[in-house]
Amino acid sequence: MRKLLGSFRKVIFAGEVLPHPERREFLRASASLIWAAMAVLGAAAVGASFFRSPRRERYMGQVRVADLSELQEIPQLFQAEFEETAGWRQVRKRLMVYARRTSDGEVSLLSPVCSHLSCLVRWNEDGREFHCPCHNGRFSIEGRPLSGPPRGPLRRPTFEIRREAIYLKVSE
Amino acid sequence: MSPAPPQPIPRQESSATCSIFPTQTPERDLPLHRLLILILFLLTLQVLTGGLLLLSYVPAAAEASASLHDLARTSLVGGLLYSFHRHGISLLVVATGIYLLTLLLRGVVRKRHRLLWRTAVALPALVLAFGFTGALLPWDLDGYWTALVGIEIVESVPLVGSLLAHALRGDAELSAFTLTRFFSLHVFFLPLLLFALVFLHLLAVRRNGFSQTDADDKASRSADWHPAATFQASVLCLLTLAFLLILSALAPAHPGFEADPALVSVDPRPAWYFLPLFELLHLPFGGPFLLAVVIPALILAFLLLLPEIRLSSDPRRDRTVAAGICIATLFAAGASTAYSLLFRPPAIGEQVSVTPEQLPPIPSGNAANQSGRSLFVSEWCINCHQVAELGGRLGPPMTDPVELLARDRIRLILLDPKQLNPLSTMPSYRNLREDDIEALIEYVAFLQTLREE
Repeated sequence: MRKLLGSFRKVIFAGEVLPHPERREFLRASASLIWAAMAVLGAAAVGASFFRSPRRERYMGQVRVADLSELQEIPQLFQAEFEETAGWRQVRKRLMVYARRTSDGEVSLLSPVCSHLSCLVRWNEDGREFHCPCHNGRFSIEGRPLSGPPRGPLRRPTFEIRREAIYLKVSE
Repeated sequence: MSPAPPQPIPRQESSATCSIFPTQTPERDLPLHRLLILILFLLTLQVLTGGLLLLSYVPAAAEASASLHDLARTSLVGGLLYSFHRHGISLLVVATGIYLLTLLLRGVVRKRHRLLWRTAVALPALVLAFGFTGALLPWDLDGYWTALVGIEIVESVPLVGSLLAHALRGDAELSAFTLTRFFSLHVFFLPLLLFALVFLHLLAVRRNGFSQTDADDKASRSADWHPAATFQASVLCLLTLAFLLILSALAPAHPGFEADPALVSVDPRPAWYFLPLFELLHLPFGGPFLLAVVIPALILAFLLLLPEIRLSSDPRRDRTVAAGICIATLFAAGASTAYSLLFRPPAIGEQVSVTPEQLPPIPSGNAANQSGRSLFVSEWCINCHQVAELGGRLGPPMTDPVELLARDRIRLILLDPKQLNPLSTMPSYRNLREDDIEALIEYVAFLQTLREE
């Protein structure tokens, strides 16, 4: 490397013509350097392209998912829509939640997204449990994992009750 | 045929080196050459059918499914192209697997075959990557959930997982941007890798052949590569083409129901070659990272490092041990695939076993017909809508309805369930053929008139 820098100084600053063996080595090293630099730039371009993601603008307020009067003792799937701009696209996104009223009158909300690999769980009235159709995970009515691969419970979204209705906050 | 004396094989042909295929080859290597030609043929077929599909396919979430449906439904050639492309990848998985196993059993692993072996190992892995990225492109339910679960698995990798998952998705969550990303991977980046890999593999075959040593070459009689390998390979390719044609006629592939991230009523299933992984993920221990990343990575690493690993002191026993391990793994994979296919059938709605014959028969003179009755089962209606106490209960029952629906309203629900009820979890049937929709409408209208006794 030091030798190469020396050759470089000689060529650029002193304008010398290098002797034959040194010249060949210098050209070889310079060629490698040029290719290495191009490879680094190429890798940077690949990285920047692959890790780029669309700019997202979400309606960050609260959306109403259900009226309190709609709740029953068994979990029902409620959905709410909200607007989102992702990159140049305007899309309507959905928020989904299982809601029920517990025996002591409390409101209980559970996310339908399985804690294993994010498939959507389904309420099974016969077994009184949530069932994930992807890898057979089962969850209790409170969202605790009962059997199968899931380890964690179903997520409990935070909500607010206003004017006899349930509001969910749209999060990132 | 008179037995010719063994001829030495010229290693360095001076004039014919411009060919990427060998000119002469030992007779005992001919089966491997034929298999390799078949694989090249299948790869070419995938490139060609894929290229032709590109002429009609629209890689956008709103139009992907409809564009492929339109192609498959309205033109015979279009339907065949799609079926060939979908079934072709299955054949490639099988062919590259058999090729790899044959190489292993013949001992084409060590010393000078390192490059040949490693590129042969990478080939099925790359084919699976094509299968994974290709599954999302029709933007149907199975593809959507395959991609979603696949990316979740990538995300389970410690440290770099979320970064890699983000790069795959092109977004913070699986969205239309993911389709664009998978599309570019499937039609540009992976083919680039494939061409490089095939080039290296052919180079390795060209340079060293499949024989262990030069002495092995000399021991076997040599034959002209063309036509000794090419003739039978051509017949093999022709038979494969005929098989594909029959398969596409008997079991035409078409995109499934359009992907809908809000549909809780689906039992998604990956393609058959991912079923071993799918079964592994059912295990109640280990977690996705260990089961779906570490285990496949260990298998891949074992195969790639096989040229270096010593499994026993005797090289001959070595080969037997390696082959034993591989065959045992293959057997386990085959068994889990069979289990999956037999005991975890795909479904939309609840898992029910109702045959069309169990549904109410149609009285003569009614506009409804038998095809409507069988469509009601085959298109999964029965899995959510009860008919006379039979079937699933996710949706409203068909017999004894709260309100009688007119035919145009039934059509509207079938084509776009969310238009009438934005919260509906019913899939859209807009990709069904028009006469099938007609038959379904008539049958549903007939069911509505039935009263529970």
